[in-house]
Amino acid sequence: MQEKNLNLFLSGGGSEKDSLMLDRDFLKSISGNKILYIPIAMSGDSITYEGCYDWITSSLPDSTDLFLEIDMCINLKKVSKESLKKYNAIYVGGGNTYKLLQDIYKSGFISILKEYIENGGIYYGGSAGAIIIGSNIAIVKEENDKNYKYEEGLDMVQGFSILCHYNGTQDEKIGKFMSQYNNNVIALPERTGLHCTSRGCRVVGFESAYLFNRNKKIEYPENSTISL
Amino acid sequence: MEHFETIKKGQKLLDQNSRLRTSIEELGLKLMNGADAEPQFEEIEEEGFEIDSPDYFNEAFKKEGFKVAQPIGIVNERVHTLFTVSGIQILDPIIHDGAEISDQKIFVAQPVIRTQFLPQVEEGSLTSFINLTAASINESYAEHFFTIKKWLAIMEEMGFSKEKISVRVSHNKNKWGKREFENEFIGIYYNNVEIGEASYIEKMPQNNRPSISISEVAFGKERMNFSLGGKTFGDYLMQGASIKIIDSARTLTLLAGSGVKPGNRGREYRTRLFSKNFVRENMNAGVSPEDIFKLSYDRWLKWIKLPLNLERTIDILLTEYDRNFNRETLNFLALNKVNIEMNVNQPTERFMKQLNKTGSVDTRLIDNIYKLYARKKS
Repeated sequence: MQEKNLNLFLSGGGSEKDSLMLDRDFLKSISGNKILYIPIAMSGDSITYEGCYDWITSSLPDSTDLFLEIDMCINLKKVSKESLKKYNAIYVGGGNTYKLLQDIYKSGFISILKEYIENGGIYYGGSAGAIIIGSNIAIVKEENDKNYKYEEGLDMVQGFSILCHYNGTQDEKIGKFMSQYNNNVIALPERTGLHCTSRGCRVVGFESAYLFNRNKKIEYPENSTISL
Repeated sequence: MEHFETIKKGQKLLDQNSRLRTSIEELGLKLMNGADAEPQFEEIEEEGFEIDSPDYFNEAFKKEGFKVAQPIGIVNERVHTLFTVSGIQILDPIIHDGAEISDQKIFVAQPVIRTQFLPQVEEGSLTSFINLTAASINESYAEHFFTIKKWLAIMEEMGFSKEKISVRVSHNKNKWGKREFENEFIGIYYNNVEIGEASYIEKMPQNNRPSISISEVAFGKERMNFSLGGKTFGDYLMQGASIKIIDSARTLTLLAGSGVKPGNRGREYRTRLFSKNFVRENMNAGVSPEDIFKLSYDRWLKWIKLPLNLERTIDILLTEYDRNFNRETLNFLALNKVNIEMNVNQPTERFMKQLNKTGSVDTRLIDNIYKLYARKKS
């Protein structure tokens, strides 16, 4: 890994039952109880976002005895480097990966988020929130339904791109992406996730993760570590 | 909404949509300029209005043939969110679950909770408020237009000046489950403060019957008040009560009065969260929790019948206040490297005595913390 002090939790994008083990590890790793929740990969109105908050406050507390204090942010322009200091972790939920990345770039949050992550800030990404951590989000090109222009992810996992909701049927798509973008890929089924630190990415969940590297597909069972 | 996309907006939309353009012209409204225009309070002299019951609005809409509906509880199993977050949700059973269309035009003054505004609570941005909603099913666009007109007339009667009203318009595409639909949206601003919205869905697909049309014209009572003079409340005249304290107290009282006990997840999570916020905000303000909770209960009661009576509601709120005050005390001590394990679920008076007995904390420090406990000593 690069010289970064990473602490990333990347979920394959399943339900709260699927990500239970990753959620537990995530919550154990935070030193306090304040989480900034960013659901903007979902596009919707006020009722949609209230539903997002309903979901996170009904699911995440199941994985801890702590009382979590979860603030929801739907306008990234309101997040500053300073305001992030009061949180113990950032949680970015799923939805449309392209929309999420565009909002992150256009709001200027990209530099704040990169600095936060590189300085060891704890980050949890579910589905779209995990995919943007990789090198390039064109691995989910089918989500680009509005000619979004941003595709370069935060590139925090040593040049790998990340695919969520992997179920074994997407190998051809992954191969095409690798040859077109010259990127390697980590594929995460819904029932698994990764905890990435500067030492590597440990597979946390109920199923294996897969690494696609120069036409090779390598299986990493749960609890094994992908050394990058 | 699982998907939301603006297809067209602003002048471009008006150029292509003659029906909307004519409506806006006929209403004498102007399009809002600039992306983020600031509120314009300096020009105004109004102090805000003090309508503290739904009677005025109920009467006005009744005269126009609307059925006045009783608000639903903020906890209602028939709505699709944990809490009622909008007045239009009173029609959720018809819109989403195929219930029979009985009253076509309704007006409701609906108390709602929106936790998404919690980190940004300030004058005009609250976590609970009254959503004044005129809605109709299967009414024509002309009727929708009439409802907007009616609303504007009511506003003028209340003292709003038409020249200070501006609008933003958009045509949006939405998806809810398998249902895709489009709506024509007018955001209504006063002194550049968003106070309401008018939405018309021409065809909302239904499972076992033809599509229905939905008209919704809704205003936030407290936003309306804020838009006049920059102050949200004129009736919480309590020394030291900032808008954050008032907001926490109001939302907490609505939650507890609706039977939502404090806890660590789901609905109950909100009660605990708001109580913690209230305790923290109030530590340096010293507002009497009993007084502000009673005042809040009294204010809500004018709009909605709460399932729990005043005594029971206050009992829940004060028990939780003590718990969270005790927890904050332990957190404060931990920050000062005094780590003590104690039961926080007990009255603060007893908790403080026990804390004193541990001998781990300077008595003067305990006294100083206890001074921040704003409850009246009985």
